[in-house]
Amino acid sequence: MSTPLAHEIYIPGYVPQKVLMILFGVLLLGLGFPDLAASLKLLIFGIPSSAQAVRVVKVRTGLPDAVFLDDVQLRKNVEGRDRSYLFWNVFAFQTSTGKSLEVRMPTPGLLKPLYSINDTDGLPTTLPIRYDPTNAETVLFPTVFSTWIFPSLLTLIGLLGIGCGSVLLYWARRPIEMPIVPPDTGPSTTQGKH
Amino acid sequence: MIVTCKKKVPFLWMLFALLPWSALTFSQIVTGNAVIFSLKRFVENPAALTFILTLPSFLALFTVTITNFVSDRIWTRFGRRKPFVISGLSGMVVCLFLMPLMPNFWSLVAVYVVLTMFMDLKSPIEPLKQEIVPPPQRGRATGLMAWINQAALLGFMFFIFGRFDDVHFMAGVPISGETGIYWSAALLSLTMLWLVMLGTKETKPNSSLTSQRLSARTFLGGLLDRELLPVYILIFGSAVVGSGLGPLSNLLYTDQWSYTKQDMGTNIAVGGVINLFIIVLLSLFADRLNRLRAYQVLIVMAITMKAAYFAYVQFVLPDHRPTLVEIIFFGEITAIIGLLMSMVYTPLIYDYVVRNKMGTYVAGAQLVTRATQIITVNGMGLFITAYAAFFLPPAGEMTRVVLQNPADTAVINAVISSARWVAPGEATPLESGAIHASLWNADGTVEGTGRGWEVRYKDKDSEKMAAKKHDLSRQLDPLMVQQKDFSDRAEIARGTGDEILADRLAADRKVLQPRIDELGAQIAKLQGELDRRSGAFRSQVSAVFAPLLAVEGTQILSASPAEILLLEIPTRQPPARRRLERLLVHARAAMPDLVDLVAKPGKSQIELSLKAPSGTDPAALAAAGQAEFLKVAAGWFPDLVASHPSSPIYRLEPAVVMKIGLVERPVIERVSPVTTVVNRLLAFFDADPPNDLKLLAAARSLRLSGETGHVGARPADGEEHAVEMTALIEPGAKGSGLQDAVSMRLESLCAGANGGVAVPSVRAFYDRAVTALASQNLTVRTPVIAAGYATSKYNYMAGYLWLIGPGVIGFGITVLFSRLERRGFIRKLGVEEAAATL
Repeated sequence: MSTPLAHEIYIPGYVPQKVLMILFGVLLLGLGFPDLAASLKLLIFGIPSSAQAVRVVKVRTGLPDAVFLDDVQLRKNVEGRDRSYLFWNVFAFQTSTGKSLEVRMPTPGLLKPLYSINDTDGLPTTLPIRYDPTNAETVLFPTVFSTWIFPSLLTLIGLLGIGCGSVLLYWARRPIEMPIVPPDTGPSTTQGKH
Repeated sequence: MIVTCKKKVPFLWMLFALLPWSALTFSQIVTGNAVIFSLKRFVENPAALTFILTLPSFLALFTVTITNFVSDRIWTRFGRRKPFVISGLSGMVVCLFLMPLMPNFWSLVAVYVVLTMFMDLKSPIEPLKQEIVPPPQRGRATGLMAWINQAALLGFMFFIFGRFDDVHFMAGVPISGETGIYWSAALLSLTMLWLVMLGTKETKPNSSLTSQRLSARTFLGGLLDRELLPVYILIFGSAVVGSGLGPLSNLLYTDQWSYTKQDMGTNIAVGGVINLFIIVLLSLFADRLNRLRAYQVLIVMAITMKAAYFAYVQFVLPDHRPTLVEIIFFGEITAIIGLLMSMVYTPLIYDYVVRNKMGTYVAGAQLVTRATQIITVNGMGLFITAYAAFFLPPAGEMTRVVLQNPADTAVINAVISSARWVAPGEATPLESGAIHASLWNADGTVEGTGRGWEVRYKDKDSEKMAAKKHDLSRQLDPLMVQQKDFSDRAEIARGTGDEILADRLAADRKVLQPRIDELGAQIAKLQGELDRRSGAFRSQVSAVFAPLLAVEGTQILSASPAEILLLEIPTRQPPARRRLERLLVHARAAMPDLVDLVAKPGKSQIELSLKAPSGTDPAALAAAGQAEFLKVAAGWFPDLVASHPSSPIYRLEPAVVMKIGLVERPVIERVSPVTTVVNRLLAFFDADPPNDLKLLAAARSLRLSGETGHVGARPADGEEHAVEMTALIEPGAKGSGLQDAVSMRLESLCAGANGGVAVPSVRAFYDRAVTALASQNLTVRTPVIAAGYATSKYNYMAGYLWLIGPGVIGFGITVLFSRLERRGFIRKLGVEEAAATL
């Protein structure tokens, strides 16, 4: 009479490495979340308005700034490959008190600006914004993905690291019953045999 | 903690086990889409790009097959798959971090190749996944995986891909979108590396394969199994049928059709959302089809769609540029056929393979598929390059001219062949065949005849000089940035009193100067020679075409002072600008004399302008205009207009009416079938868009408070290629002192007429109009529009022509396969095995 096979018991361990994984997640969260939080704060508490594109400023270290007020000039000056320039969109908006302000969009483009001055209808490019009621020059462009996508990615990856690390740490000292695998019947092709 | 070979696993485990795959999908999407734009920083030629992008396929021929083969036959204390997966993921993380930092072409290619090798090395992650998820739960896991893949694709294409050229500042440090994309993939891979390393435990297999000797004989013997050879034929057929534009489709969207990466991402995301539902629908009846027959029918449909798409873009669209709706329309039909093909093809293949040979089959299939891809993708790159050489304007000196009257290719070729040409570089005689002329319109439309012509001389020397200049510029740019950096830091150091550091930085700056001067001089010399050659060519073209060229000044077909009537209409509240512009579109359609409609800043009032022909009663015109406008406004925006005065408030102001000759038609006359259908659908919600939207847009951009507050533009009567512009010329309008043919023409046209507009102000308005029209791809007729060195053009759409060939070959293979099956040479061993299982 054959005796039943005993399951091997496995204790995962690697506690310091798993703690390190959680700390890595915390680090990423720390890098991404402050930026994201600032955007979220403006999204929730900021005053909504809309801003119109007024000009584009082409900036390169060592050269005077080039300012473009129309798209024809701008198109002639976009770059094909040279990624050492920054194209800043400048937008104008009015606060609820009627004060007119101009702000640079916080994310410039490398080869061309993120937005042309006029849209395809010939109207000034208009974007929704949220501005800080205590300092109207602090503006969020919620529809401009670049302003929040990378902090969001860092935050998400950080949370993923913390989540996965915590689950692994929870199981680190708990015994796990390993399965018993029956032997296979060997290679089926003649070419595979030796 | 995940353990392999369990009989059943909780759903949470499955989710946990699939996380690394979502990270890898993300990384693969990054490398699949972003790498071509990273490479394009250094190389343009499509054949070179496709060759570089197929390099990994060459390597995968060995790495993927050997890695998978070996992972079945080893055992270590870390497992048999994990050592490969961990090594591969570690290498991937390092390479993804390095990718955006590479300063030149070769280092980027080197890192890319190493990255793909590491991606191949971690390929046993697939059998590891199958070992974690037990067979009864694999269907659910596959479904979940498909959704994760789609979600990763959608997320990347919609939110992330378009950020490639953006810059984000984190704590004041600029991080380019390209860097952010690669580094986020690296960080995600690093997290997943940790998860696989610390969270997965492989169960030791009781496999006889682990004791098998690894040798070339066992490897080749396994792959060249007689049962599998016919299946490889089918795989080859499938690989050639399934080949698409691949990475070149990105260039088709962005370089050729001028869509942004965000447009492209949105297009793919829209298609992806539709696919999420279509996958479910198709899977309902995919198993009910005769697989081989259905596969053959789908191949024919796929070939037909490729041919139809090419024909639609080349022969139906006047500008050879589909709209996003058209791209989604054709892309989605192709995607549905592709999805259906994959659903039929995968089970079809496994009908012919027994279980024990599935692993060997995967290794062999990889070999066949990758080798086929190498041939098809490189063939396409060469085909596109050859197509450009035969059918598209060559690189070299270019001059763009405008003729007084439209001409066709025969006339232009006759002029070219009857002239004596000399090479702009050496002044040696040229055959007229060296000169290439093609019709040119700024909006890309292609017609039989036209006024705009682009004349080029294929100049290999100039091409070499331009390439050399480009290389030198790439060397010079970082040096100049470095030099400025030294200057700035030296200035800061002086400000803080650190003279020693300031002097050292100033000395460092000086060290760079000789090299900068040397490179600058070489670039200036090359540019000077290119300018000299293009100047010489321009002179030749101008001389040869002189009898046909447009005459400067005659682009102003007519100009006369006039009066416009400004009518004030009160509104309930200050009108929103976009709403007002929509009302203008509707009012223009109903009122032929309407010039413009503008809001009075900060007031609940709009101002309407109407042409006031001499001799008409202004009061009657105002009353009629107000009544007609109120009727239109009440129809579209009933809440806009407040109670209106019974006697209209109006005044007359001086204006100019000017007809300007254009190269292109200012109205859209040919609307593509797909756009017509879309417009019909949109008509349920709003009126059909007018065909002169470009003119509306140009007029809007010419409104200038205090100078030209009202501007209207309409197609000119009796002249297809002209625009009639009416502009209010206010007393404060700036004038232009330029004295040239245009000013003289304006003076001669306006001098005798009565009116209160100054010609210099009209001239200034004309100059602005030229710019505004150009921004709408409308070119005012001046004799020479442009001249200079021009690079080669490529038509990536021609790749679809190339794809038809492999498609036909693939179809032929399936026909051969089905005949062999009917004659009993090929059997469905997988189906027979399943039927024999008790």
